[in-house]
Amino acid sequence: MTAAERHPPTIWTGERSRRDDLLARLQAEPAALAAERRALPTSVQTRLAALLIEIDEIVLPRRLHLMSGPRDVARLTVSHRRLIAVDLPGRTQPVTDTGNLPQLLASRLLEIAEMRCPLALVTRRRTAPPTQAEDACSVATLAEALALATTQNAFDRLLRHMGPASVARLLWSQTRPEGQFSGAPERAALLQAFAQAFRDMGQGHHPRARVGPLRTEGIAIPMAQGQVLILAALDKTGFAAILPRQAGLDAIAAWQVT
Amino acid sequence: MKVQDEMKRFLADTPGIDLVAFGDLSSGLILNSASNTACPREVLDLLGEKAAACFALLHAQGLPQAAAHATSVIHFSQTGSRVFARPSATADDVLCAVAEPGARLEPLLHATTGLARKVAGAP
Repeated sequence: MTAAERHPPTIWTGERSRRDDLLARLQAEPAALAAERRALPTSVQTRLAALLIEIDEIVLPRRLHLMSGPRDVARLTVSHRRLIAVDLPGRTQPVTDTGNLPQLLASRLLEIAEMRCPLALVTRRRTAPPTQAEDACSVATLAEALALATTQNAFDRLLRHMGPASVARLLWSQTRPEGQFSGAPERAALLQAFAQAFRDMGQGHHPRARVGPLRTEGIAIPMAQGQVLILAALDKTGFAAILPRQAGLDAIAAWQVT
Repeated sequence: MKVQDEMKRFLADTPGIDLVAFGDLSSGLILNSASNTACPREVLDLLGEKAAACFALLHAQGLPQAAAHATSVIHFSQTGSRVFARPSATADDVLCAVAEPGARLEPLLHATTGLARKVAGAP
């Protein structure tokens, strides 16, 4: 099976037509014209899946260029079906601690997948074998790390959705279990009490406790005066917040579909 | 009208709902349900447990008395929302509505609370 058969140029394009792809390709620098250029999907999960499939299919050393129009926005070094490095030009710091490499590479892949611009993938041959191949990550390792990265990302997004409308908020984490409060001071004790009850529920102090440790879950309690108290956690990190009822419930719905 | 008929009508009339169930908070069991697709017993068991756990939280030590008077709670994750409503703060009957991700929660909360009161025969 040829590369063209394995990667039909329009399979991931979705909203882009063949003509759009051609126009984008013609805008690229001459060297890129010689390379196979394919559009990546736009949604985060399918873009991540496309990148992992690509990594898993590459045996000889290759560099994958992710391009927005003519601009290189990321470069992936791949060999032996393993990801060796992800460079985000102008932003990536050199890796010094390789002990945390899977998480680091996974978070960079996630960052690429979350880029809002349309991305095209160009694969180029790499003549010199990668020097740090022993630190490479298999797709299985990346997928495992990505599961953690995406769940953390879901919690952070929920927090961002809640942020602007919060009347009062208490954030806690593993390193700061007592929490950090902001907002109307008269609400601090209430949020502390609810946060404690919610954490007890999650830690199994209640016989029917079922808050999953690996995904963001929460509870919304409608209160008097048109407000809602929202509690949510991911493992040892969580928050309690009071919001106007409509804004709080709308924020939950918006978070679920973004 | 029977509880089952009320739930079927609720399911048909309320957008974004996959399942509606009637349960008992003291035992954490679902006693009756209506859904658009077949629902395994395990899912209903988990729903009953979740409803009981959510309302139990409202009675936790250290919380203000007013918390125990809440008649509705929403449990949510990225896969959807579960609205739990009881007709009064002392009732063990609970109505559970399982909504798809992104469903508008304010009207759903209102509708589920209304159904809980209706099933209990409250005015």
